[in-house]
Amino acid sequence: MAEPLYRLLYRSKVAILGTTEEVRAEVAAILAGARRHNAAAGLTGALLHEGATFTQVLEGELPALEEAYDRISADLRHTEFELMQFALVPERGFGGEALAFLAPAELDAAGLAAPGDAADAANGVLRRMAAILGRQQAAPG
Amino acid sequence: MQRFYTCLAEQHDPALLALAVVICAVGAHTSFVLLRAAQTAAARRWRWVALTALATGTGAWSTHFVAMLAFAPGLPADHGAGLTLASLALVVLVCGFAFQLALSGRGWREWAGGVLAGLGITAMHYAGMAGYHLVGVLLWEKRLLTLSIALGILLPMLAVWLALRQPRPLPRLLAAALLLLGICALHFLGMAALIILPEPGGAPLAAAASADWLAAAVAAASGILLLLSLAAAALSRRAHRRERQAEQKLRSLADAAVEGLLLCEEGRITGSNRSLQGLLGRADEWFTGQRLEALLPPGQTLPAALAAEGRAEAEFLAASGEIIPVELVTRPLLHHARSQQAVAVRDLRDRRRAEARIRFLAQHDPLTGLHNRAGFGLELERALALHGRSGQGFALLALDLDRFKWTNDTMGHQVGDALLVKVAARLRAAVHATDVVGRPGGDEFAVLQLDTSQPEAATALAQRCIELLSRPFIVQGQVLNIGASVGIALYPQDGTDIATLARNADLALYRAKSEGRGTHRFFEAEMDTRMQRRRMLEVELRSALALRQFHLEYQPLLGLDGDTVTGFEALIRWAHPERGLISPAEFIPLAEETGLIIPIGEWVLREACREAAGWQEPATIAVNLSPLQVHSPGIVEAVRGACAAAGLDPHRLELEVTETALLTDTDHSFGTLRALKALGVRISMDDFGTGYSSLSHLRRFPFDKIKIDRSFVADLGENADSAAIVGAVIVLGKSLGMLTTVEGVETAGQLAHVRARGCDQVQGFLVGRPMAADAARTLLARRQAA
Repeated sequence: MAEPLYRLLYRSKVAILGTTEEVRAEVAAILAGARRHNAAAGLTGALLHEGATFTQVLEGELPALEEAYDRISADLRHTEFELMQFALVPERGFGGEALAFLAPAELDAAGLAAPGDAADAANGVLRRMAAILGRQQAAPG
Repeated sequence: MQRFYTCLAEQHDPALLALAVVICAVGAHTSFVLLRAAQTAAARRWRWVALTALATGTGAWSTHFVAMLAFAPGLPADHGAGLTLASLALVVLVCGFAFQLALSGRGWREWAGGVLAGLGITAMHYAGMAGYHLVGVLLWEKRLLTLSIALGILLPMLAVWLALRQPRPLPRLLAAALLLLGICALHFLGMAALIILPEPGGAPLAAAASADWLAAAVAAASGILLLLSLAAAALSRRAHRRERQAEQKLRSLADAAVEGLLLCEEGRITGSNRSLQGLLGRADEWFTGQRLEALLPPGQTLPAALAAEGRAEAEFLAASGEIIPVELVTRPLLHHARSQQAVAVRDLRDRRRAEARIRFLAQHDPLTGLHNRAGFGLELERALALHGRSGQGFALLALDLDRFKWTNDTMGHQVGDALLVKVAARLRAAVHATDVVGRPGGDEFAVLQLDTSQPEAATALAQRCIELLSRPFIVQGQVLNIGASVGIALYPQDGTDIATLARNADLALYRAKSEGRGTHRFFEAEMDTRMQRRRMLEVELRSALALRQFHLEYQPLLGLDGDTVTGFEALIRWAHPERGLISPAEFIPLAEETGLIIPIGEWVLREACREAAGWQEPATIAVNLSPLQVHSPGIVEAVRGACAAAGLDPHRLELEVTETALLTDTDHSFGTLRALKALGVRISMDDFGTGYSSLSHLRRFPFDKIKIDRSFVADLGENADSAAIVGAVIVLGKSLGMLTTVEGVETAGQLAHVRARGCDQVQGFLVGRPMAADAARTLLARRQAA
């Protein structure tokens, strides 16, 4: 009997001070640290860094996910933190990597928050992230 | 030298000479074995001393006379029997005194004893020589004679000192060799100093007879010496074995001890046990001969108790470099008949760890690991002492979680505790390394910010705390939303002592909470005066009921279908003897907060029912119920009791509740309302249109009446939206079968407006202000008369 799987989705604004280069370096460091943690804790997910916005989805078993969330939610390098979804899921939707880094080629209109309640908004964001991930994986290299 | 050699080689018989040296060696060794026995003897030491003196004396004496027998100067010689025997007695006696002296104490006595023994031996030799007669003239060479006497005294002295100080077999052999050397030097240098001038005309002596009796005497003395020697050898073996056994026993005992043990003498270590070797990580060999200072970390001085007697705490340096706190207990000890110190070394690391743990527990909250009230107080005191001197400022932040109690009550203490741990972690992330976070109790937290750039630093910190704590928490799979309010007091402007600072931070926190939560406030002096007034009011409110300072006023309600006063709303008034009328807006929230609203509300109910019972039917009486009253378990009984006591038909009682009463614990609240309605009492929704105005509340409970808030009526004329809302609520009421009352009607225009919309009742200054009970009665009577 497998442990139940949970999914966490949040959005926040980058609050790192410095030049674009410094911010990029810091984000790269955060990403590397997160991948190490996630791989060790059996978590998978994706991080979308778009302008000043972070959107991250993380999936895994509860204790590991809760621990990762404790770390993320106590971080002052981002602000306007918004927990969009925390729910039981039947299976992983982002099971490919410890933390895929998503860099959208263009703002695709379909993904922008559609009117509707919170669950719709979260599902919209998830669909869009899955689409970007799919496109990246399809692209050579 | 030449003379000495000639004397030995040419004037002595070699075989007898060798015998003399052997006898001397046996005597010397026997002497020191016996001296050792005398040294360690617990009782009757004088016997051992006598035996020692006998061995030394006979040894030296026999050596002397065997050597004399070996001496063949080529002239007939004779030994005077009297002086010969006297010399034996002399040497034994003097040596006896000498050893007794040497054993009586350390230092000069040992030296003096040695010198005395040397003197005795020297005296014996020259007394013997004085009895030596031969045909010729005896002359002495002065230099050799002096050397003979000097060595005859010095070497035995050194030998005795060495034997007493170093009682082990090897040094003892050395001591015996020294004594042997001394006696031989004395004798043979003395003989070399002797110049014999032959006397041609001298009478011949009975040489043979003289040699005979001397040989017999020497043989007897040597026999005694041999016996003594055998006894001494046995004694020595036994003593050695015993010593070894005792040492072994002592060592196993010492090694079995849990505590470390050190044996030391005059500042040097002479022994250690296994525990100490383990403690310091050093081998047994390292300790022996080491100075005590070598045990300490560099630069530390020896505690006085380690050198003498007593108890002290110190630090020892282990081989690993670790500094180990130890307790030392020193006792004097007599070991090998020498006074030494035994030092018990107790490892204090466990105790220190336990003490540190106890101190930590006393000053920290075991759940979150943050400082508890006591520990935080100590940190504050430290900051005060430090900054009080330098005059630099710091900030005290009081934090309160906004919805913690609700979470704890509904989700259980386990979730509540886990949440507190996570709150503590986020606060640690919000503060800097120099800041101190505390949890004085419950869901209260505090931060001491040691930053001098105030108030900017405190503002930023408060915002960081609020931001982090406003993010949702996930506890055991549940998403929990709390939040925090922060009050800030600054040193020194908001207080120069802990109590004042803490109180003012709390006052600022109170303000932050009452002004919307999730925010921070700095302390302001005005908060203090307001708080003081509030506290005084609270005290007076408690006694106001007993002192009958409350009374009711009644505001009429106008029924629009017949334009008649259909009833009154009871309104409480507090006539303070000194401050005059106090507004309900001021004291009702205070009564809610303190719970005093329950007894006050009950009094209002009874008083209103009593008054209304005197009115002619069907005039109604409306009474407000506060949210706390709705939630109080005794409310249904209180209402029933009030009606029964007054003899009022419950149908004439209207209870007005606001939506606020329905927001928390909704199911229970509606249950209470249903029970009240079952009594026959009517229930009104008060102040509708403000707050939530949830239609689901109207759907869930069949209110008898909706009272539309006065704020809509005030701008009926100018604001089309207000007019539309009032109209819609009236229509809504009609369709749900509920009456509608419009509050705050002050002008004829407003009355005409709501009348046209089909409103059932109005209330306001146009109809009548709140009035005294007799005025209300008069008003009703006039209506009846009309």
